[in-house]
Amino acid sequence: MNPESKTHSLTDAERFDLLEHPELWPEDPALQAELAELLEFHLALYSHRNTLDSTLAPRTSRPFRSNWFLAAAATLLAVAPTVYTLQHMRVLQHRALDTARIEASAQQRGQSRLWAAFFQQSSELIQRFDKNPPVCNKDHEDRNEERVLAMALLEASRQLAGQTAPLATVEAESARNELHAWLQELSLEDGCLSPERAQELRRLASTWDLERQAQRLSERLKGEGS
Amino acid sequence: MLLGLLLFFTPADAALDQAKAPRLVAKEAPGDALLRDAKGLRYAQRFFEAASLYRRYLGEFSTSGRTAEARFWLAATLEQDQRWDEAAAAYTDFLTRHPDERMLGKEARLNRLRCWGLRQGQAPEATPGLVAALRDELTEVQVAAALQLAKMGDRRAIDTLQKGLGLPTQTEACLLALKALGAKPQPQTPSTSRFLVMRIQEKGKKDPVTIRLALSLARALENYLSDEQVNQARRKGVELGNLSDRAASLPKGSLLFSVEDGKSDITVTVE
Repeated sequence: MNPESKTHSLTDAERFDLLEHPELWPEDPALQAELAELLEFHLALYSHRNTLDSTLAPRTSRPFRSNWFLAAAATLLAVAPTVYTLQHMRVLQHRALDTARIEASAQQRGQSRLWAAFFQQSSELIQRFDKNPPVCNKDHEDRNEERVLAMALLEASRQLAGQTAPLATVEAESARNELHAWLQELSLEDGCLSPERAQELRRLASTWDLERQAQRLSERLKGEGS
Repeated sequence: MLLGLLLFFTPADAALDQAKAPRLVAKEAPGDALLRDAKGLRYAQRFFEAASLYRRYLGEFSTSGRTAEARFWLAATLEQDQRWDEAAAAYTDFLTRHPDERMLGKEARLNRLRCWGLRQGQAPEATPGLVAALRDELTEVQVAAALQLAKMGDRRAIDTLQKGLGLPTQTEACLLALKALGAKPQPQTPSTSRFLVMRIQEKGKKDPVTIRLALSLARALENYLSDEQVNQARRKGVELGNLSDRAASLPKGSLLFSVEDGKSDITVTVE
């Protein structure tokens, strides 16, 4: 159920009640932090209730008004649980902030590792493409496995294109673009490559310095995602 | 002679020469040389000239059997030259004229998404194009469009990203995009009734932080671990890539593993 739609149907009293029961709050840490702030404000106002009451309420009998001792006792009674609750709320608020920080760090680490893995695997594929493969169709190169790898890496590259590069954005994105173009060339080929075409693709990788670029960025991003 | 040497050492021309070489041995259809030169220029990263040759080919040999190929590489050349709007339009032209080209067609649709993704909020057709691609027949295309929309914080991507969580190769990217959008990942698999619960006790902190992950999103757990903790888990024989299977076979409350490094202790249980 959508918690937002649920809260819309509540009376003010029920909403205050919900505010005072953190265990019923939604799990979103940011929302929890926001609610914690609201609660803190609500409790702070509540702690001044007696003072506000005595200031705002119509004055009735003079002897009762002058009895500061009773007022102080009432304030103390209200303040003690409030201080405890405030303290508890601060703990909850800090925990929500810690959770948000850990989530953000996990997000960044995950992103760096995806990029690093892409560069690492691309570098390995190019190295592999340099080696002599099995022969097919008399003198052709059997590059079926490399082609399948290229297709998988192309998909990974597209996913990365939907994210922001975590480190040296321009450099990583530019290297990804060049690798993407090379992977696309390979993936659109037949698995059984003519020696000339295979040589052409090797030369292209070498001219664009793809293997070294991929290796270097993989090392850098691994450091960032550690 | 000197001119010949200069040409030999110019990479762009070397690429052209290499591209031209097979002309000596194979009998060619008219216009093949033009396509080969265009490819040579593309490999030499002389994209503007390459695009001109592809256009010339399409003008002069409009009835040839290689027009689909020429149109596709024209669009790819424009994309590599970062002329995003022209590239997107060229991919659209290719897709309209060659609807039966399945392999190149899929590439064209995916590449066009990237061009639109970069032009969101700037080119009028970019965002509507991405939104329309959320209904593409291929899930891969839908997810790619959703990732591009998510990059700009567009919440219309959420449903597709949730769907992408169920695709093994897309899970991680969709998960990251959903979190960046502030949406709660809700995998559409039967294993959602079970969770991995991580208790992260950071050094110097009084209370631990608890993170819950649906079992089908167990792969994301690794993101919470440092390299040292990942290695430690592997040394203990824990296969982080295969946690969901193991966790599904354990009773609730079981300890899956615990690791630590200089910054935190992490305990993972099944609940």
